[in-house]
Amino acid sequence: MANYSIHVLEYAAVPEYHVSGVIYGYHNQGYRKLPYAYALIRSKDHVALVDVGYNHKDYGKHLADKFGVRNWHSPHDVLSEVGLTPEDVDTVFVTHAHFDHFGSVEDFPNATFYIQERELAKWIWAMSLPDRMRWMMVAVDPGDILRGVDLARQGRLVTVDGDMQDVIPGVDLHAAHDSHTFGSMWVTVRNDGTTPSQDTWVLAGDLIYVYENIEGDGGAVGVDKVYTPTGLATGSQTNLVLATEEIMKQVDYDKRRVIPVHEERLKDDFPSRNTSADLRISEICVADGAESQVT
Amino acid sequence: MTVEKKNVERPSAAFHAADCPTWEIPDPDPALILASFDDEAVAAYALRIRPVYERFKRIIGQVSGLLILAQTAPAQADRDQPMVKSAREQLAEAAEKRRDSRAPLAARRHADAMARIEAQLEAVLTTLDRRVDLVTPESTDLEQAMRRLFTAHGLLLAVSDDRADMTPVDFSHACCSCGVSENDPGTTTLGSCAPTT
Repeated sequence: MANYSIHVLEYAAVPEYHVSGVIYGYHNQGYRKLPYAYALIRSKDHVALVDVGYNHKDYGKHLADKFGVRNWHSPHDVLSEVGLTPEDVDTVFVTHAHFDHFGSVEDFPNATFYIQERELAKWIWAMSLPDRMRWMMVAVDPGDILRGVDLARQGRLVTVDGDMQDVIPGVDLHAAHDSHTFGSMWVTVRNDGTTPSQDTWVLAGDLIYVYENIEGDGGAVGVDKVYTPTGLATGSQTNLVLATEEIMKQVDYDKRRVIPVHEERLKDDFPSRNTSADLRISEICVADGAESQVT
Repeated sequence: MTVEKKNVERPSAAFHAADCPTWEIPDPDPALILASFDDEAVAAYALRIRPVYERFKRIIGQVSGLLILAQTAPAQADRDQPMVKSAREQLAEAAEKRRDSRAPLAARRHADAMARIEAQLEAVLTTLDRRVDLVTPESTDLEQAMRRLFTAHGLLLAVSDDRADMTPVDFSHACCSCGVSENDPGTTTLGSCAPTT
């Protein structure tokens, strides 16, 4: 029994992204495409997103000009490819507060947003530090935090303190403190609704960018594969490795059950199609009775 | 000379003409005139004002975060009060730097906008110092604080200019920072992993 369909929806991409940015220590190994995407979790009762993309209105042109981010499309355009509108989304899980995950909140007028309390509290602290410590607030848009005030006033922002089970039925949040960011979290879908589940999927946010973060080359330490964390950790790579172990335990060490949304090779492992706008839709699983969105 | 709105996706100018209507309202109107950075006085002013811009930006984020926590999480005096105190001290320091920034005529409107951002933040922080209702959704205190913050942020966007390193988000080490520039495909940006040639 599968309660939810899960899809990864690309909304933009960096065609040539430095590999060392996504895999710690992979220097001088060239570039690869880095898709920007959000994950859709959909049942007959709920439409949930994991992250919402960046605020194109305020700095989309800047990102394109300076950082090579291309092919941005609005949530309206992206969701229409799977027969939805932004208004249909009732729940958003914000894995962390970076601009490309917490930006487009205004596009989802009916959604309740979930974010770790620690993520906000520590960003506030980081923003109070002297300029020489500015690195610690990299990639956070104060405008996103400001828009969060409005969400909170409308009762549509929930701050979570640690793990939270069954936010919607069968969907859990797990905190990964001081890892990619101060209060990152991942989303676990127990798609059979049971605990423990025999049908678990993990939407990893930026705790895992690409497959090498789970199965990096272990030759240097005499093993086949090792966890090799992402290049960017406001917390620590150690905590990223520890979070990866927790994630892998949840899926019984089945790599295929961990979904890194920045991974272009999802298309090799899951049925996928490209839209007319050249945005990839990867179908992770289909709920009982639901239709495929890629065939 | 004016720039057609349709040709500009977001305001990118730091210094606008004295008659630019942008300065009269906090809407980031892109119909702007750039002052030239060839003007030495403008460039020097930009260097002096950039730390102020940076600090104002962060105070907007700090205060916004405090308002979120006030509404969504249990109050924690040992967490919240030092944050308010810190923001107030930073605003005082930034205000002093702003007053010393000596804006040339070409940057007068920019300087005026910076002063307006400061005034809005000062008013919000004064609100936070008082025992006002920042929790109830219908609270007029909360509404006013939000209006001031949105006004300050709108002005901040209007005075942003990446030529002067005044950008609303620091992307330099972000998830996109290693991409190859669309305008200059032969180079990468100055992110953490850019080539150190």
